[in-house]
Amino acid sequence: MAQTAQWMISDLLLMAAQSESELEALVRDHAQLVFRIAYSVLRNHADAEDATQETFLRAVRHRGKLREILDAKAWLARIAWRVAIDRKRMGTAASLDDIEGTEGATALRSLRDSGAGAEQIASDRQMLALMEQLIAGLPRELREVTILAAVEELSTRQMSEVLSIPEATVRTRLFRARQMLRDKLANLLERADWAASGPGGRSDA
Amino acid sequence: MPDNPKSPRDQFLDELLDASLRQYGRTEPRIGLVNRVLRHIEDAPQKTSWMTGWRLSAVGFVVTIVVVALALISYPPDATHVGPGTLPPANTVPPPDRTPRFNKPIPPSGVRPLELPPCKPGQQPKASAKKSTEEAPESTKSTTKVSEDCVPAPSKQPQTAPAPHR
Repeated sequence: MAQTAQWMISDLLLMAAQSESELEALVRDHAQLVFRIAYSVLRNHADAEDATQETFLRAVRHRGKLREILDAKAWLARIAWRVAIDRKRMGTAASLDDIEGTEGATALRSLRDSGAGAEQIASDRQMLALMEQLIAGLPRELREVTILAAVEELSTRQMSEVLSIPEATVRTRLFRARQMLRDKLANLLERADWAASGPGGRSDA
Repeated sequence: MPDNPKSPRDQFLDELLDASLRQYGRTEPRIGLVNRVLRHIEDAPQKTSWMTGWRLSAVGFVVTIVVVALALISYPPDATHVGPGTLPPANTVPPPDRTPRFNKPIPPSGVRPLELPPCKPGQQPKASAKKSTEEAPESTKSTTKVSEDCVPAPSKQPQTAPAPHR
């Protein structure tokens, strides 16, 4: 009798230890992804870290489901997305037409004139701020897929799971979002060119 | 070979957009994020259990209040019961004594007579007192006791048969 109880206790301890190690592995494998998703939405390190903590707490509460879940990465990404969206209601985004982006465009122009490549320009602080403005100005459904795609760690299928939309819709929205961002960037570049050449005409063809 | 080759400007725009989107999503957490998350998870159960206890106490309190309220509604306290600290108002009439008196035989007339106390020594029944008051002079009328009625005290001789009650 006592031996049976001992076995039961040791089994329980083993299960608990396995669960702990699974949980630790989950955190080690996906903490960065969760943080990046949260940061993409919140654009703030401290808030993103808080959201990461909350995401894993929610995951711990539902750890019973973990063995039934086929794609733990998509599951965690979905939780992280919801936590981040809850923390920042994105309905207050500025309209794309409201964005002037004059500073960013001027910086873009000067970087391009200095012969900097696209990668170098993109890493510029002002260019990054300009990009944030442009993405924030997208319609909500286009903004969501753009943010998730920017994390670069999720496949289209995982993104569709996170957003609860079909994969084809994800692709369509990504294409539309990209088109809008490209058009806006082109407009800003033209404006910068026009500003550099003065009211008399453009400096280059 | 593509039908519509991109101009250098379009190519630059595409490259710039790709690079900017990569840059947008590129961020690194502070060192030690995993350890902080794990520590936070370890601390969480204590907070959860405290919250659970607090919630349980609140729920228990509310349930107790509801049960007491339901008990009071279903079983109101006896209205005739007077507690030790409650006295009836001075101007209220005490309720009539409704105790059944089955030990008294009902006379043939069907009307149960009033139960009167036996007369004390020197006290006369009301009927005779009334007669004597009528016969007495005016000056003595006020001194005669008519407020308390009584029945004549039974004689101490043993009776074989029950005497008819008046």
